[in-house]
Amino acid sequence: MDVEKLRKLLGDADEIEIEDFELESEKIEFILRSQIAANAVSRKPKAPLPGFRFTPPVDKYDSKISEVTLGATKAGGGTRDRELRIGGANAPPFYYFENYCTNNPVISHDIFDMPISLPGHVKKYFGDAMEDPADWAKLRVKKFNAEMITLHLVSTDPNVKDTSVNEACKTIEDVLQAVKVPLIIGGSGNPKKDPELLSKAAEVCSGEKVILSTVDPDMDYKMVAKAAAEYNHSLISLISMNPDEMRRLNKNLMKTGMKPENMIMDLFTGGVGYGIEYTISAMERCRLAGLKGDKYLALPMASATSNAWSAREAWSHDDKLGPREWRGPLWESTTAAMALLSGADLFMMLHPTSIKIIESLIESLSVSKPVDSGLEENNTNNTYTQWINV
Amino acid sequence: MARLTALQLYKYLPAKNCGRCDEATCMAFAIRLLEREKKAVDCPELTDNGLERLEDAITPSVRDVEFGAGENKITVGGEEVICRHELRFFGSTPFFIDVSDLMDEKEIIKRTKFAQEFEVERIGQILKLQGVSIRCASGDSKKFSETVSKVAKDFSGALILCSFDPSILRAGVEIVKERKPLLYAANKENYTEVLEIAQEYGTPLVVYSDKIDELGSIAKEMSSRNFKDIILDPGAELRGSGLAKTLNKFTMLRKSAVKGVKELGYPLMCSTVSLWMGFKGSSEGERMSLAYTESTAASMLLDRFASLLVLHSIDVWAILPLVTLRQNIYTDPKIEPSVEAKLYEIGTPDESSPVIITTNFALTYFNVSGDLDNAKVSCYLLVIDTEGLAVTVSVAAEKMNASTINAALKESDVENKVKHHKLIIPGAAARLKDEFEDETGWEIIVGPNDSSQLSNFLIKENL
Repeated sequence: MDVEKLRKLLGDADEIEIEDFELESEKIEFILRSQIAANAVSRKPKAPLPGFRFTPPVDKYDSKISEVTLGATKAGGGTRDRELRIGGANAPPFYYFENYCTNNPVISHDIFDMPISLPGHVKKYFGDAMEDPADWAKLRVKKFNAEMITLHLVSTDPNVKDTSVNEACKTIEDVLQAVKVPLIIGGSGNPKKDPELLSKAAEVCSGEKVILSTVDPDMDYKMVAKAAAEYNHSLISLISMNPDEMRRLNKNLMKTGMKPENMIMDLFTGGVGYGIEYTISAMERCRLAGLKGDKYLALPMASATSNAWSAREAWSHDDKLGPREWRGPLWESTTAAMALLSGADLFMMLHPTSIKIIESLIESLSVSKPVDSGLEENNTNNTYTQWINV
Repeated sequence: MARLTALQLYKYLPAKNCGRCDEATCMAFAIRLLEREKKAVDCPELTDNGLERLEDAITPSVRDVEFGAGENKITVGGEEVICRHELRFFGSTPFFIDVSDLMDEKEIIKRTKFAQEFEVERIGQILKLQGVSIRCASGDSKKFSETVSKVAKDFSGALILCSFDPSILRAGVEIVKERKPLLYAANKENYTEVLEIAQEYGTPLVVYSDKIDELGSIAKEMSSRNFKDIILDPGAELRGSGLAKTLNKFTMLRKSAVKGVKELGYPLMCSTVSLWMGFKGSSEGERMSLAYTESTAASMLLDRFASLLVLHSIDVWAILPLVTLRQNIYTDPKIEPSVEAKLYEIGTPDESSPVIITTNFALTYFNVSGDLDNAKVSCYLLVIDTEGLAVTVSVAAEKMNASTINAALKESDVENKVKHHKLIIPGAAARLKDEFEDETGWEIIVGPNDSSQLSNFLIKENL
């Protein structure tokens, strides 16, 4: 083979293997591209590596998180077009090597019973529908494929509009008519009015298996629990970032007759930069305690992720921080991603882009057991090593 | 290894209370060791064997690895736990900005400058990026060396040099040897040569393999050659369900380390640069959406045990949640980020100045006082002890309630400093207005939801 030809061949090659090679000239110089040189080095015989066998560090958990059904179809005595199930985790979130297996988390889309203050670039997704909760719900389902809707009855707060309970119940009926997905009925957070509102809502939603959101120790939660039990709804207990208090509240709720399959807990989701670290730790502690057998904490967890919008970074006009149309939804979805990793089973979210991102995360993270024992390697499409050459 | 107590550590010390370590007693020294304010070598009494035993005893489950020089020195790893509430996380994940020797000069300068200048202030801390990662994509040692020189000239932070070719790594490290860069990476083909370079230049290195057995084997081999300044890159699939596998792998590795598997007891790193493979820079929309994906993957890896991250995007909006989240996750969970609850004077208030209340969550306080300062408002800012919780949370958790506000009013004696009885409360506490009024007897005015609108509000309401 003449040298020129060889050199040309080398120029295009990724790897060369020379067999039956005889050198006839006095001196020959190869200029190899570094990639080839690296491979050439690799062929040098090596001392074998010391053996190391990896064993996945598997723990066994005594307990399983309870499962909660959201919504009731005709068969279940309601008028919803689907029933969703959350919970059922048997290992910490995404510990596939410990056989993590659960129902997919569900995202419920926020709507409000009055137009609320939102950045313009968020409002434009909803337009005039914000004026009418039924329209807003329809838009959420038709345009943004909502699987579930949260109706926040914020106007009932005596310090906001003091909308009467009867009027609020009319709104609930309108929304029940307008969409057929399962519903969460949210109060205004007023500890005096919410018990009355949520109890009446339980009656209005009889048979639909809605979630009443939320109860806490500072209100007459027993009244709400009684109504939830009577009309077979679920409810969300809310305690800000304190596992001990959460345990106490859930215990009291169970004493009033609430069953674990109708209970969800919310440890309050602080946004990124606004308390997310306490949320992460409170949720992690509750989930681990639940898996280790504490029945008062072995409940699915909810995350009111739209709280992330109270963070200044989510909406501020500061151009130095980059375009707010991207910054805002990223703030909400990053907050949601942290809640997801901490064990959230139910999300209440606002921005359509954030929702889409978290939907695809849930889908990709919850494919049935992506890793068997954790040892399975799939090298065919692993392009990671080439990141150096991007 | 499970974390020892000060008393257990004390047994490794000479028990002479000689004071030459600047601590009065060996017990005090043991406590400093635990707090990581002293190192084993700070005890002048310990001999080779004793020193080694102590060092073994205090080495964290995830070994701490240092690189960089002078004030830009970085420590990664040093972790003991899986969940932060069990202790805390230590080695605040450094972020490196990606530079390739195939980028044009303008792009390299832009990226280096970004890494150098990025700065955000939060809760009295300046959040920054830590370094630049320079990779040899050209396969050309000369081109790589030129790029390393270029970056080193404009950038004073830490550096990572990336190539699987030992001769290229050697050429690069020679240029910046006094900066003690991190070498990326040793694999099963080249580990002997890369290890030689690391030992010669006194730098740490990354071991790469997507097979955990191999990763542990290479680390074990290096450790048997008395080299332990190792960071592990277990490979990462970041798209689709690959992300699930990656999070699973990182979790297994951290858990193994915490359970005492020495071969895996090293910090983990990940580069999210591979997400950009195939991107030609053609469409702005595509670029933004890749930056979004990268930021999301990086934030999840940050939560799940990545001790070092290499990022490609230099969009501020995509980096901002990452530096913020890092500050959150690496905060000691036992310490509430709070300021002293008391009456603060903003500007030069007099008897007709407004009285505004807020919480003692540090971020809330800095935001509110900063906004009032910037707007040149003179007022009294009454900071309530909400145990370090923000307004929305403290209202929900009843930490801001009628009696805490009343107590704060009384204690501050603001009553005798102003002649009016008007109290401005945060918009997020609106629903407590009546309760506050009943309890305090002051007229309660509901302020805006965000303090950036406070000064306009004061003008509009003629306060």
